[in-house]
Amino acid sequence: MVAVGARLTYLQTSQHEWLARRARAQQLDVEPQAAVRGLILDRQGRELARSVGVDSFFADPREIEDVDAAASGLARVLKVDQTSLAARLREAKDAKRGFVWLARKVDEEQSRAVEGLKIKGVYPVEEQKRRYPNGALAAHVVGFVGLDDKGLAGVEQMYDAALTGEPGRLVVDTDAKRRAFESAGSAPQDGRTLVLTIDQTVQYIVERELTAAVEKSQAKSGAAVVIDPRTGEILALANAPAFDPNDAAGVSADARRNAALQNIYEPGSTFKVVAYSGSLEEKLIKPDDKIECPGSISVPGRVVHDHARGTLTATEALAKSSNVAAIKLGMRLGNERLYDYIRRFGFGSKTGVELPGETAGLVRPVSKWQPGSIGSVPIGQEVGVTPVQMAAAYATIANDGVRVAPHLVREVRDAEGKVVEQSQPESHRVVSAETARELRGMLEMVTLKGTARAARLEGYTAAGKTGTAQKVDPKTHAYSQTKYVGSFVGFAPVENPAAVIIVVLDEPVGAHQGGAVAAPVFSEIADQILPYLDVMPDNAPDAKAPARQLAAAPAPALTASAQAAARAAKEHEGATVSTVALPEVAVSTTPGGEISEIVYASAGERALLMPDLRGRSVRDVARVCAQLGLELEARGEGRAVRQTPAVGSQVEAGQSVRIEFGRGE
Amino acid sequence: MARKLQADEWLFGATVALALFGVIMVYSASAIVAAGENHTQYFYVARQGLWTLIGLAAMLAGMRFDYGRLRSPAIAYGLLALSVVLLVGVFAFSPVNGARRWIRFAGFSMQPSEIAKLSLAIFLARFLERRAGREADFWRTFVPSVAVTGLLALLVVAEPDLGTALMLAVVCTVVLFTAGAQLRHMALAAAPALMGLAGLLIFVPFRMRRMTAFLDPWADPQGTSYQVVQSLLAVGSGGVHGLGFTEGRQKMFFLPFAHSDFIFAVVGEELGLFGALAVVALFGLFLWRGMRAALRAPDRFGTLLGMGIVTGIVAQALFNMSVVLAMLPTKGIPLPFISYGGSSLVPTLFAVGVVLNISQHASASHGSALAPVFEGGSPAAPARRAAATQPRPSGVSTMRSLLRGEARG
Repeated sequence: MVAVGARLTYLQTSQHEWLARRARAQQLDVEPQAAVRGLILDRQGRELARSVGVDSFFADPREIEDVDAAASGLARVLKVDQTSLAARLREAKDAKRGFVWLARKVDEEQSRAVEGLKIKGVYPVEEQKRRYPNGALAAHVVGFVGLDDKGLAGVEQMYDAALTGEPGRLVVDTDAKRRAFESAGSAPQDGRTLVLTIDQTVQYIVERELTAAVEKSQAKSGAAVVIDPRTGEILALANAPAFDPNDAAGVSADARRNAALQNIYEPGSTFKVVAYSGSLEEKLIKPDDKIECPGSISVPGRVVHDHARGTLTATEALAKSSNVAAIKLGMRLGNERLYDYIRRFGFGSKTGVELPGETAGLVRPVSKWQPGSIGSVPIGQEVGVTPVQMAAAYATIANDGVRVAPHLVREVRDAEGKVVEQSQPESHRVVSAETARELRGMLEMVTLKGTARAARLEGYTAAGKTGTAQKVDPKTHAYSQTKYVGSFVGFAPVENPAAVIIVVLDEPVGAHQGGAVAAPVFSEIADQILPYLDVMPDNAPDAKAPARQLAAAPAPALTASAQAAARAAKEHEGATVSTVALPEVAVSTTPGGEISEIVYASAGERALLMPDLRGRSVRDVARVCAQLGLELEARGEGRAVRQTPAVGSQVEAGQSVRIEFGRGE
Repeated sequence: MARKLQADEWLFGATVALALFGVIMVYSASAIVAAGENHTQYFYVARQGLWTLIGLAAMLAGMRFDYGRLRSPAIAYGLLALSVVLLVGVFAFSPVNGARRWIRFAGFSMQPSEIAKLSLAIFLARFLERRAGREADFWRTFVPSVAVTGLLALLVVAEPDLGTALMLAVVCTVVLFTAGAQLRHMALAAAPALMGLAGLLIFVPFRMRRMTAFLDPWADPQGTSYQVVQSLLAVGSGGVHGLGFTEGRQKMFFLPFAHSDFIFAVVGEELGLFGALAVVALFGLFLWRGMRAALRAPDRFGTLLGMGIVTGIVAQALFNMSVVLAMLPTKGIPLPFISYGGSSLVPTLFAVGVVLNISQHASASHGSALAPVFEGGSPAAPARRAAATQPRPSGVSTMRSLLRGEARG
């Protein structure tokens, strides 16, 4: 009796915990309830990433009566080897296992076919698949997910937790026969929706022009960023070459690299604005003050040469990108103040853009400067910056000297659409409005009379600066004679800038001057996006003649030109009125292989006609819808089979269209 | 004497408490099983309630006649013969769970082995009373006692029901010891019994499996140790406070025989350490008051019969609990008073009635609780004087002093 009491005490006190845990383990079935990963939208609510439900099938082999018949039917539909499937099922059946995967994430048609077989013991489960309807569009911003739907790059990685949501848990009390008799648990909290500051149309234009420029200049790579200087919002961030996040596994790490904020380059002349703004702000100089430029200047240890000679005003010196003038201004400021302005413009610190892997760049503290550094730093040498940093610095000048932290997440909404987080970018004054205004005027002269005449726009005033830097050869640690980084950073319109655009081309072949390779890209982009952004032209349209051939280089698969639409609209309504341009979309791949161009004309102010999407791939359809601003409800995989609304019916941007895909023969 | 006979209130109280507690626990443990068998959830508890009423009536009946009449040859040998016949009779019925333990008629079933336990106690008490003073006679006292026990035990083992057979052996041993049998004789009998036990374990495969399962239950929790493991999980989950009455989870078909052989596991799971220890304590109270009554019986027959019944019941209870707590290999024997089943409950309660019967004579003849029992004899039962004045069984004095110490402690 004492022994029984002792044993009871032992079991129910010191053994209680693990026995109870073990008992609960057999008494409970915990069924995770998957949360749907959140959407990623552009600033206008167009989908950049969405998770779609697809069917997977598993079998409970114990319930399959005729394994061979089941295997033959399934093998036919799923297009797998019948013998090995039958063997797998039989082996599981013999082992009395209740779960065998038959096929993961199949398309709608296969799913229907499997269901149609009506085999006892074959069950569907819904799983999720991440889709990027625009393919490579904004790939470096959006990022991609891995096999387990975990974000591995871009905002997919940065906001992985918010996008993932909270999986629910259904805790089911079961009896020994696995019958549930009581359940409790938490519903899944679907992932949050991420609304980016990216504008899909702007992004598309930037990517197209950047890609074209990289191809034309045979550059190794290129990066471009568009920032709204008033809000710090990044409207577009592109790298070329890009990659398709739908198939990120096969992409090299190099292609995935977001050069716009992960790579540092020596900026060269674009960096000269720091010395100029410091000198203006400290009243050391006025735009019209004369600077002697003798063609070279001695700094401790060496002589820096210059192509600009003579007595130049500060404005002229900047327009001609005089090295001597910039170094003289840097000397007037002195190391300490120069360094201070560099840091105030954000160089040497991360901008805080919501993307993984951003680098702070390379700005050495004054204590580590060489005596000759004053001959390098003011002209953008001995420093390393990222394209985003440079864009943010020019955005500060564009925004009357107030820096608004660049960012690309506009708001985070919960699954019900309620805004739970709104970006509140930090802002602070870097230079006075007066200094900024003077600088803008000086930078405009660069495009009018200086090194960046290729950056002039149609109908808009523009300001900016070219930069050409020799790359440092990693082997010799000396400036390379063949490898350059050509860049242009600028904004428009000059008095009330709506967009700051930076274009950086890495190792262009042949012409490598920023003014020659990057400035035209700036102008291509600005000419298209400013009308799209509803910016009033502030300049005579014929300011720049001859008119460039627009949409001259259609992309092989798809072209869309906002500018063409804008021009068409202008012809109707007079040149002074700008309208929001709906992009025209041309899809040029047809199953027959013949290249044809289909243009979908505007049917009204914001309405257009529903194109015939049948026979097109998911990606093509997604692109068309993205360009037209149509919300795509896609189901299945393969080529478009059915579409609602019908061909030719009037649709509006924002309207949702339902496309079913299949792999019919 | 005109004085109203007074039964032992503590013994009575402990018995009724255990029986009523059993009804409640049978409800909790069986409701799900009953529903699973397409009965109402009250199916088993209603039957158990009915059996408890019948059993309590049998207990009262057991108190209301002169227990001395049980020593008449007609009753003693008649019951013994009936037991043998019924134990043979079970083989006419199809097995349940692989064993032929039940005799069924008119919708009811009974276990002859339960009757055999009482019959054996009555027979041994009568036989050893008559052999008073000749306890040391190996051939004429010891051998017949062991032979009758062995016969019944063998029949029970054949059912097979090794657990009940062991209980019969325990009853025989306790009664012989109380009567003052030679310890060396008992050792002599124990040797072949143990060898037989070993043989049964070795040559009947399922017993061996159960044996090893008990030694290391976690080695094969889904196979041979399934019952032990589920029982331990139930008891362990209970913890100190238990999950609460009816809140147990293990009875959801995890724990086999939750309302019968493993009901103590449900007690441990739902009522925790406090509840389980309370049950143990009630059996302790039952043992103390039962032995006290037996040792105070006015005659040798009453003492031996009371001892046989009380120790038989308590030994079975401890055996059952030990199985539940994996201290002994699994044997299918019910927890007296508490486990579901009328065929165990009714004979047990009747037997307790007999002990209460004996207790009322003890209290009637001795005002003082600690007065000597065997001196003077009982005024209420003058017929038994001859027996009572016979030399006192040697084991009794030892036990009496033990009991006294326990009572004082």
